[in-house]
Amino acid sequence: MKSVDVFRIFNSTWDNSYPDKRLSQLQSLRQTLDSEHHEFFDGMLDAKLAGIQDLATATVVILIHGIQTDGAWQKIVEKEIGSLPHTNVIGLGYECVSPLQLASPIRRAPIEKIKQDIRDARAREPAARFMVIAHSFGSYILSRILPSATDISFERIILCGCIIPTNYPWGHYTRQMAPKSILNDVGTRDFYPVMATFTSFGYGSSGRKGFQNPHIKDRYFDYGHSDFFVPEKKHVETYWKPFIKQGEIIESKWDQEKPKTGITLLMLCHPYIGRTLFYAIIISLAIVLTLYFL
Amino acid sequence: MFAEKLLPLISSFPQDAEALRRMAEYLGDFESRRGPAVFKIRLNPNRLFDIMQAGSTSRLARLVSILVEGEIIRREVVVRFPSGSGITFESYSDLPFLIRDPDRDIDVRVTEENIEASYILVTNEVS
Amino acid sequence: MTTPLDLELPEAATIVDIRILHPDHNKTPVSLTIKIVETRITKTFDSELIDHAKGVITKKWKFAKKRAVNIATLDHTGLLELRIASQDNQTKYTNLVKELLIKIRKFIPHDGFNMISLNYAKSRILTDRILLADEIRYSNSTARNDLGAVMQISSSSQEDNLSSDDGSMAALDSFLASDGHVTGTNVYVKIPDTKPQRELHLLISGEVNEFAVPVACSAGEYSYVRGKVIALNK
Repeated sequence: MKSVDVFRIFNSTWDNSYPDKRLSQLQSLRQTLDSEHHEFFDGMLDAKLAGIQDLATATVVILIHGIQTDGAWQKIVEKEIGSLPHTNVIGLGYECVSPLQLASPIRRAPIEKIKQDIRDARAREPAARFMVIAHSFGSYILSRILPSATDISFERIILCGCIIPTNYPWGHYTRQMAPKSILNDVGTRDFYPVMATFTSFGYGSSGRKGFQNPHIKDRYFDYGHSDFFVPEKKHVETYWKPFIKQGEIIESKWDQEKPKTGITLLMLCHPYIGRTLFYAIIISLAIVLTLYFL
Repeated sequence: MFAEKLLPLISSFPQDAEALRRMAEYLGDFESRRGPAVFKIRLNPNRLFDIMQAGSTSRLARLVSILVEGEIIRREVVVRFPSGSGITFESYSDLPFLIRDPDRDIDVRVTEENIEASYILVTNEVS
Repeated sequence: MTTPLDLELPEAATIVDIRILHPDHNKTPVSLTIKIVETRITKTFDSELIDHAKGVITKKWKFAKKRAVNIATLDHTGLLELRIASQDNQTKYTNLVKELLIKIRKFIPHDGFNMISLNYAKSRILTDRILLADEIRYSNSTARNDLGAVMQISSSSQEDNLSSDDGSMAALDSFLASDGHVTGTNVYVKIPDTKPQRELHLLISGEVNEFAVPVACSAGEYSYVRGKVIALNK
């Protein structure tokens, strides 16, 4: 049994009992639970008896990390964003995904896991405002959840190292979101989104080029793939915290200073041109090597 | 300082570190101003909710369970009488059906209306 | 509803009127108001019969039915206000609030609404009592501190002004200065431009988003008190 199940069953018993029978019914329910849940159960009873209600201003920020990482950056974000009042930062994890899995079509398991985790978080804090920060493969997971899980929605979204295709129909899946609620922080030295685009299917170079569509605010930084989490750069404190707190978008100076994107990179970012070129090179190399060894 | 007892919990629960840090700061501030009176602290759930900025009942329950299991605080259940005084019990399962109000010298039914949780610090002293 | 219903004592809580205040059709409506009438049962103790032979005491209560009117108003800022007719012998309104929300949910779904805490107003009424002396008369206060002590201080009668008693106020200020917090406040709001001075009793205790005006008053007077509470909560 998960703590969210304990939460649900507690609330159901509380809501459906007569007040004079409630305590005894809750005590009977408590006996049926594993001892690991007893303190949480008692804490729920403490809160209910004290008349505590979930706050209108409570915020839950979900963090979804990328591949080949256990989300060590999540601790940095937890510390900074968690210092905001009544803000719960939940770092969601999944089994390590290798680059081979990333390139293959077998990507379902992490998506289902994260989807369920978000649902559980929502069940525990139904009144809270939900926001999400997704990095790299985490952004891809988010892009697969939004179309299929219509019960999952966010008030604000931050993407970084994003590998979602640039033609993703944001307007379709985020209709309920206010304008300027989705930020895409782009690292102009980030090659991973480009590589993801031309080596596989289903990914895009939005983390390098930007989405350049009216639903998303693209912001450009002189960063590599994970430089957003380098403590010295103070990116979380400067650019994300104000956005989470009050929706304030701090502009990046690099937007004006960044160099023009070269033609080679643009071709590699194109899903058909880049992929064709890449696989043509791979196949040619394979043929050359085969002939050499024959 | 008592607040140092929370440091291991802050490391062990990174997701709740900031809330636990707020609790540590509150205790540290109280102890620096009022010295040994910190061991007499008795907080109710509403106060803990504000100190740790829990935001929701489920998060408060989780934080309380971390603090209780981490032996930072201990729960007592108080039956509160109209005069403001109360009688404490160690847990909800110890609550009787009827209780004697010592101020008015009458029997009072124990109900949701007159029960409240309160939390005291776990110290090494034998009480 | 084109024609409001005229119900005296309905069997179940019934929506009798729904109105949209929309004075300027070129702008968004100002408010949506839903009026619900319900029948409440009040019990009064009548008699007690002691059967010594059997060792049984039988108590009899009489009950009476009373009409209660509850109103839900949603304004253009998104503020949902639930006005519930006061109960005779109960201070908890949680179940009545829940029932009212269920009743109106077809017109005002509960999703997206969250409670607004009035804790700040509770504290300000005390801390700014000198500034508010011309507007609010202080009757009693309850406070609790972090050592679990509870302080309750009241004027000798509902007509007196507690804030004119320096000793009581000093005691309360001292209590609050040592890690104390106001938990409940009972004041009288002075209605301006009334001769003789009219005051409305205002209780801010109970649930965090609840205040009570336990007297009959005009719509204008209620509106003034409500505005005062909202202004103090900022």
